[in-house]
Amino acid sequence: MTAPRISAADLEWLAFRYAAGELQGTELNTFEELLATDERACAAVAQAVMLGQAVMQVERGAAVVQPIRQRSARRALAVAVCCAASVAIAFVGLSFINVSNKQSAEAATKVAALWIQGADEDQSFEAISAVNHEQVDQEDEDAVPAWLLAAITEQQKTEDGEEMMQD
Amino acid sequence: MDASQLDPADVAELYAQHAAELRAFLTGVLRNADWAGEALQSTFVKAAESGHTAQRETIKGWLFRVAYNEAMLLRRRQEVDQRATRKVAWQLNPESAAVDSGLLQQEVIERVRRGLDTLPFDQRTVVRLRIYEDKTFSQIAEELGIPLGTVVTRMRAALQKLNRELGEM
Repeated sequence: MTAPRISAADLEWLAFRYAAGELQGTELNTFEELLATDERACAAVAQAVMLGQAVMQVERGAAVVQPIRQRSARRALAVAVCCAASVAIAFVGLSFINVSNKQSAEAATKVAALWIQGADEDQSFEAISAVNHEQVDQEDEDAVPAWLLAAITEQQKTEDGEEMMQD
Repeated sequence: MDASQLDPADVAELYAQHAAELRAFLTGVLRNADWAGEALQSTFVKAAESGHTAQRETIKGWLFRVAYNEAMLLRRRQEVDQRATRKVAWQLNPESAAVDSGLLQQEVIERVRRGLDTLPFDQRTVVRLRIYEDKTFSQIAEELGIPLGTVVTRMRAALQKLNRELGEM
């Protein structure tokens, strides 16, 4: 093979353009003539191709890895938000339980005090009822509403009154 | 075995040493992975038959010359004008080069990765757009809003650095 008369940098550049399919016409023919005789030109083409393939692989890897990283970040954020939400819900739930327990304890104390003081049965019943109504309002939305109880009580009184009148 | 033929062990050694580079060279010339493989086979058949005529110190040059001639023969045999249909050499099948010597290819990739990491952002961008996204220099210039000459200069500078990284192998 003949000694090269072209600089290494120019040879690399020509080899790259040749492998990229950019050389045309005379430039292409001249370079292919060089390939037939110049080992360095052949090696430069081989290196250009290997370089291009390696860049493709590296960039392809980067293109694949990047979305996974973004997805991981998004997933981590979602997990963090879910955890925070769970903690908040648990905290609120515990607060309700504490409030209910506190109210129950207060009611029990009140009832016990009334019994101890020897209060009459109606008073203690009213106290228990009041506490129960509060608990029903706060804890159980499916329970009989207060207005319905009041209406029934009213109706009961009216019926009792009518019965007395009849008697 | 014919006494004038190369010993199979010698052919195997030649293959191990030069097949990856020759395949890359043939891929560059033919822009067709299958034809490159075919020409590579023919080259080593020739090497087995008459490789003994080449002196050891010039065996690589001899292999390149035989490979080039085989590629030209193969190209002439094709009815279709390949210059019209040929793709960019590295868009064909990047994995094919790894078949011959996976370790070498891995080393090439690692070196190129390192080289790319050391490139200035402007140069790396041009390399990515030109090679990976297969854009022309004119398209890159338009996309980045810079003169065509600047794009070419950045590409040449980047190639020099990457080739230097590979040349140290």
